[in-house]
Amino acid sequence: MATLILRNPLVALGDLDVSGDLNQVTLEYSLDEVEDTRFGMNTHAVAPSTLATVNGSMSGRWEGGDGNVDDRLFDNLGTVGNLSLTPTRSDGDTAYLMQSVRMSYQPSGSIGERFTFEASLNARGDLIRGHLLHDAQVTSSGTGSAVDVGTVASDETLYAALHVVAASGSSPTLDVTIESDDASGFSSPVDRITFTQATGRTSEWKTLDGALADNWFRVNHTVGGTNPDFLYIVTIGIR
Amino acid sequence: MDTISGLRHAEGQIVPPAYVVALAGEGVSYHQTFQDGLTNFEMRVIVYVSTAYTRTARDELDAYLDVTGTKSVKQAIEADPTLGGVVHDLIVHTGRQDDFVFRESGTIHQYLGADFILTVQG
Repeated sequence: MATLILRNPLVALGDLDVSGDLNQVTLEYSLDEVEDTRFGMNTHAVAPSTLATVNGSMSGRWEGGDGNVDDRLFDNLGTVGNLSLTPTRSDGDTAYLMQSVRMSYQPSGSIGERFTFEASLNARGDLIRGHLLHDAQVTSSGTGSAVDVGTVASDETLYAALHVVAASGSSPTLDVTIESDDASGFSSPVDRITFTQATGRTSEWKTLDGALADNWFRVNHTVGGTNPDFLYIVTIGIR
Repeated sequence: MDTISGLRHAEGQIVPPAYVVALAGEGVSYHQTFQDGLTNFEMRVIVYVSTAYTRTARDELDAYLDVTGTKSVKQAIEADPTLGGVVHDLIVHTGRQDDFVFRESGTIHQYLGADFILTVQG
């Protein structure tokens, strides 16, 4: 079984790719405990609650300036934003996505040492485990890689997070749609999730209730404007 | 370093006052952040002040080691902490007097000098 040395994960927080600013990231996913000790037992017993807790933390180098990590974490404390985390950055790789609330931000440093920060966030909804669907720069319309995400049962929901982390050009526009098919060739794609048109850096969370019989998914992006240039990320999962 | 009058970069033969730049200690520390976002370079700047251990040479050495001043190496380097936009930041940690001895073709070359240790983040 191969092990992974973490070098190049993706950590997207809202409209910012903070990967290059971080050297540590943690997602803690746990179930609450319910006391289940009964007469006759000699040892405390616990039962898992159906209520989960998800906490996240990250730390890294501080960087100031508009739109950079200090700006985003300070200004967005207490706000809900999307978080996508993938240990590796190839389409189809495992991804964790959720809506989160930024709960704390701690810039700190010592004389002569690098100025760093720590930040924590809590989930504002379920933690979804899925796949990285797209993580690339685009300057023209097209489609992304086909990823086998799986079918969505009637009691399940398809979740998707969009992070537009860079945008340039004259009146640039980006329309991203997630489409599905029952085969990787996408001979008959069906639009499933349509994100709001992006004209700059932005982030969006979308859901679609099952049932969906298709198991292959990909992005379809339409780019407009003069010399448009977007870097966007999409993660997707089923729960 | 070029802002320090009279101090030149050593090219081949060392003719003091001259300086060289090299990696030090930990050398290059990769992966300081994910995505190769930050790399640490531990550097040293060696200033060869004089071949003569005279009072004049020691005074000049002190000027290179000083915190501020027209010959302060620390001040000169930290005046441009991004090295013209090439790196994120740097700091000069230490500076100390040192004696540098080289043997070349049977001849011993000895210099009074100073050794500065820097951290450069790029």
